[in-house]
Amino acid sequence: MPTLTHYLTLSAVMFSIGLFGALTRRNAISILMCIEIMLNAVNINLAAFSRYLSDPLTGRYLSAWFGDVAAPWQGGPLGQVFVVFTITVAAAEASVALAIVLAIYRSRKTIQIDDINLMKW
Amino acid sequence: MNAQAIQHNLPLFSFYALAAAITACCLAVAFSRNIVHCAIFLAGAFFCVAGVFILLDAEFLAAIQVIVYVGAVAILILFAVMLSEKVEGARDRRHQTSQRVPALAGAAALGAAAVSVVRSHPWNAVSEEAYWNDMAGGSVENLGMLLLQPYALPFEIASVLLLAAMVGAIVIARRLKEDDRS
Repeated sequence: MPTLTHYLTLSAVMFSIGLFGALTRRNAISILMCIEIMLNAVNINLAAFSRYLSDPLTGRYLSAWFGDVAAPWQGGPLGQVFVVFTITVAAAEASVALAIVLAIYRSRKTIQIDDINLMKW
Repeated sequence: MNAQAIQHNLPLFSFYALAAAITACCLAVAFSRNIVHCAIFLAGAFFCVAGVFILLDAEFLAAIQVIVYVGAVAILILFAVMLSEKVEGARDRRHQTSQRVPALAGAAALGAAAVSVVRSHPWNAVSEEAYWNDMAGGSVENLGMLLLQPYALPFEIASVLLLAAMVGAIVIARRLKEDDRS
């Protein structure tokens, strides 16, 4: 079985590649793609923590943070809930960002970011 | 290696295969000069991440990863590429800035720091026995209970956020016609 360390290492590598791409690409859509890679790396992190970490107090998987351990929804895959929200926000971000890219292209005929310095100074 | 050992190590082999594919796809996204190739490799990376979610016993996440990322975000990016620049024009000679070396140094330092922290930290991992004892019904049911009972309010707020983003995207990307202004 792969351990938590495997997944976290993969996530760190993925995040670094995405960061490098986001820093060096000059096409706005490419930068968005690299940001999506970084978001996916974070999602892997959250899902891996959700799968492998136990409650530090009890050592059990379902934690006692909500009080009664007996109810089925208390504890459990909490990290996956965060991943669901991350994916939601990332989808919203992607749609708005691509709409902005299209609007910029329509008005300035380029999406190379070093040509779009209208608001820089 | 006998069949039993192969079966026992199958998750590990799958993980390494998926990790290699993800790393290769991400490198292609970060370095490829053709932006359409970038978008397709990005879809491949998303698909492999769905495989990683399955390895992590997160079947629901794998499903929405395929539906939302591979099905929607990658297609949206491809449409944005097609609507913005000609594919030939996207093959840009100066496709990366001159700050490659500092960016590489920064990203490599961050990655090395993260990996060293991950490897040295004593994680209190749950034992497989305790995990399967508590999660015998699978993770989808527990995730649904979590989303609709304690996290119902954030869930609803997320749907409002999606609505706002949809309206905003339509308003921003809409082509203004002259006779529409009346």
